[in-house]
Amino acid sequence: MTARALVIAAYAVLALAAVFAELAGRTRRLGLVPAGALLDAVRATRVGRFVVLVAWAWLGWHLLAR
Amino acid sequence: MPAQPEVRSGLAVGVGALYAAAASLSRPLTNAALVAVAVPVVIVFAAAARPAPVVPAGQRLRRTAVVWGAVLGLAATVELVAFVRQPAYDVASPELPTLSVLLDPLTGAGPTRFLAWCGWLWVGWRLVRR
Repeated sequence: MTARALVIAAYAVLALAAVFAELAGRTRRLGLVPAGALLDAVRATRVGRFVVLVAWAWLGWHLLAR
Repeated sequence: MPAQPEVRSGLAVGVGALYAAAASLSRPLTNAALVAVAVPVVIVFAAAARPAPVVPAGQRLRRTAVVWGAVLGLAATVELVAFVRQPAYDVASPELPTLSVLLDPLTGAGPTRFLAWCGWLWVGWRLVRR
């Protein structure tokens, strides 16, 4: 397996894990809640809100502007 | 009289889709694309200045935070390893591609760029929604 294939496989596994975690949260399985509920809790604090917004802004700049 | 929540949501979706359509016409690495990203960032940061309702932390929330922290932490690690192994800051490595390099064919132009814009704007709107 090449390094490139390994990196792509790692991203694919993590994407699947994210989908699985969200589905488990939405169906209230494995003791999880939806990612939206976690996001609401994080943005309830000033620091959490700032960190999440900076991450969102960076994603937009990184993927859409550069 | 203030607008109903459904009307406000519908308006937000319409305005967002129109903005995404216009913004997706901008090409990456141009000032137009930079401004197109900066405008919603300024609006969302301004809207986020208002305090959000407090959410009580429970066992489920903590467990979810651990799971998502692990997923995002691992993704950041893979991205960082790929980034530091690049031959130069602005030269991508074909052997160890970063996520943005892999997504370039989708986010660079066309309908998928429009969808990427819609997704990004939706997340921004979700971050300031009451």
